[in-house]
Amino acid sequence: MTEFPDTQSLLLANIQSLENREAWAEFVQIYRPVVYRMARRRGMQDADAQDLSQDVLVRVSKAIDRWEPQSGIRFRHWLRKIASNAIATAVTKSKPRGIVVGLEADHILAETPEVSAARSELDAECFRERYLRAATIVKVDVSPVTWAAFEQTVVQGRSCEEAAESLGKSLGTIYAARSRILKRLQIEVQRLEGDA
Amino acid sequence: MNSSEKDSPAAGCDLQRIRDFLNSDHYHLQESDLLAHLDVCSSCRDSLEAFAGEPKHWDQASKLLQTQEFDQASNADFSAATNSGEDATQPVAVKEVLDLLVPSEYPNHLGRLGAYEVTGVVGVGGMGVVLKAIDPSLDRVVAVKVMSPRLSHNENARKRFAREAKAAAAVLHPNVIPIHSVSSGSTLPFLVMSYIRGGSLQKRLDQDGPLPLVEVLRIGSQIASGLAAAHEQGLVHRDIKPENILLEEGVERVTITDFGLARSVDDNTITQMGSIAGTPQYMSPEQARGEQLDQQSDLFSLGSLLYALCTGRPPFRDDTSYGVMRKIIDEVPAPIRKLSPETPVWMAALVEQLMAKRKEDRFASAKEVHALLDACLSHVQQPSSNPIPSKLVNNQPSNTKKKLMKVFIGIGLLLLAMSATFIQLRSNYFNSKLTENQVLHRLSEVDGYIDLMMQSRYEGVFLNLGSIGKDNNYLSLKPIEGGVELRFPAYDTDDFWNKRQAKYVDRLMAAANSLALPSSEKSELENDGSVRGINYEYRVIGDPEAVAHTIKRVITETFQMDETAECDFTFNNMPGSYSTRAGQKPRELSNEDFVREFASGNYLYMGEQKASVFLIPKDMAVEKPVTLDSKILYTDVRTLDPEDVKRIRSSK
Repeated sequence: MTEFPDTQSLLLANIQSLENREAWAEFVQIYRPVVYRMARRRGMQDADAQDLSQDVLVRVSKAIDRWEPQSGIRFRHWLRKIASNAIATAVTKSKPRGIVVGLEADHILAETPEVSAARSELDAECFRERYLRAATIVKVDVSPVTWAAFEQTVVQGRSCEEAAESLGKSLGTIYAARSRILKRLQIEVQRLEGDA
Repeated sequence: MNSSEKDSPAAGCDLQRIRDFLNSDHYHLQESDLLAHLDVCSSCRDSLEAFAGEPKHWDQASKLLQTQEFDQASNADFSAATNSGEDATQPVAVKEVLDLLVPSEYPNHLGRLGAYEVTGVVGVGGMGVVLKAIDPSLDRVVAVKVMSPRLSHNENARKRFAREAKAAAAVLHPNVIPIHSVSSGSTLPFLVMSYIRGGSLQKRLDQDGPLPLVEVLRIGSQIASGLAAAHEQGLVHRDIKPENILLEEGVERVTITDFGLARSVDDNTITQMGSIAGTPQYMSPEQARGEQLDQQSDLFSLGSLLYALCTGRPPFRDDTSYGVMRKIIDEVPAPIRKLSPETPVWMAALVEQLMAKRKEDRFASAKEVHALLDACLSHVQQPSSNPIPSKLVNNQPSNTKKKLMKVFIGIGLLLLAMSATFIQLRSNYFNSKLTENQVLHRLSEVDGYIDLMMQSRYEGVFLNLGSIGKDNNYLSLKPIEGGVELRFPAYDTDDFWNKRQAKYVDRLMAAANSLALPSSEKSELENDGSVRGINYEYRVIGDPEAVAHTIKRVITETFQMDETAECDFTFNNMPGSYSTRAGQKPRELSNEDFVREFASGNYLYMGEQKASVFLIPKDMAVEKPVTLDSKILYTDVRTLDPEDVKRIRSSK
């Protein structure tokens, strides 16, 4: 097989601004697990689903130099548009190779019910993935007890009183902790959404 | 910024205070009265929760953070207990330190050090252990570096630790880790630094192998910048290596850690004991000899680090630390370009100079190195407006130097774009050979054709590797919008032509990279939407002569002169500067008539377009631009006698 030499460096050379490179790095972090989940849900095996998510990212990366900074579309948003096409095509046809990339894909990508379902699933999954990432970030930044107060009461559904008891904290501390974390989570998610 | 003033009443409802509390980045323990109020006031609790988020936001958090089917390990991470449960097989040094911590009130903490609540172990370094801890006064996570108990008994070592830590704390620079405080009086001397989320450069190197040039330059430039700031304060790092460089997650910032500390304890331990904690692979020769270190020593280590980033392996390797140090002193590492041919010549030259055995042969300062790396980075990202620093060009071997100078200091600007398209391997593409009746030229004749190509008034030249289609597979070189085209067949007489194509791609890339031609990439699609291949385009700026030079070099480096099967090429299309006069067309002749007209001596070869070859009257050939009209003759080149085609083509 012909190996493509070092496409990564060519790619990075094209994403010149810092903001756009950050957008790309975040993009990869968010989309890889999302495509993986969507593929698994459609019956793919673990290895195939991983291949597919890798493949989609490679395809999208190759489309990057078609982005025109003067087009007025933010790189971040453009990337999502491109990815939406690539992913919708990839998962609905379940065809790991030969994925359509780019805005050109629009005219061949018929908006079948299957495709639009995949698109809304993609949106929901991306949002969840950003939420998970935000949680990872916030968790590192706060003390373990603060996080535990949030996790036990909000995620695991325990009452605040129970959590206060098990963590050896006052009820007020538990309320304060979980509210602060919810607030921070939303700020963090918004930042990851690129709207901040 | 935040409401640390204790002006609000200790009891009673204060909604503004609740808002402030939610919006501040961190809270102080003085908030305890607010917490106490929340204990008893359910209406304030409701307000707090309402300020924090609408019911749907609470709902969202609850739903989205549940573990779901097909979650991969990485995204389940936030819910796993990552902090405390480090395993029991911790090195002795860690155990020694942990044993000396004061027990914590919190069951899942490892202990307390001063005011800091230790929640985990980050790593073990040469002189101690790095812990992850919470700074309770600001509720923020910090990294605490603790001097190893073994060394803390040594009074000189303690003094030195304190002195160096204070010096390092004085360096305020975005690429140097901020040091918040130093404590040298306690049983365990320690210093408190920012906790940086992310991994070390070593980890990145282990995962990804050699880094792309842009990354190498970006990281190198930031390290040099941090070093320059420290050097200005008279500080020497002494242990620049990938493990001591942190890559912050999600941000493109590189942070140098362990400033002036790692080996500050006792430099002599290194040579006396022959083995040292950590790796000596990035040491300078003077350090390996146990001599006095200065700022120049950091530059050597930076060179070794860049070498490792380019090639994926450290420059000096041996089974023992002693062996590594011997090599550092005595040996010259394998040339970077031998291990990683795509590294540009100027980059290899820069690293080589950093790694000069004699201090005085290295660069003058980290500041200078920073400026150079920065300029190189700009060059790689935006070659048209940023030349390679002349200092690096001057350091090149003289033959390449001349050419590079021409290319980059050219007056007339001409854009060269080469593009390499190659097909994703699908066997049905590969079955057929060239069907056109084409006449092959020898590579030794290529100069004349390059000159012709340069007469094109179009501003770009394409080099196209691997035409796509059932019939043609070739590398072609042509102006962007038509004109003289050179085609190098990539097929072979046997079925191995795709192997040859891969070889062409490799060599072409290497040639383009060694000339530091910047590139871009495009995918091409089949009608059914699948990806057909990728185009690589290279651009370079220079006067026509320089561009011709570059093309020649790319050709001679891509095809081997001595391999006859590789050095044939065909010549298509006419110079692109001609336009068609309205209503008039060149006149088509039979092969016989065409050859006869040519034999009259009144015509010159003009060029070829698709299957046609054109002749232009000699008097017309001198005026430029020329307009095509019926005085220009053409015929079908495919049916011409190859010998005639050859004569005609050489008549320009």
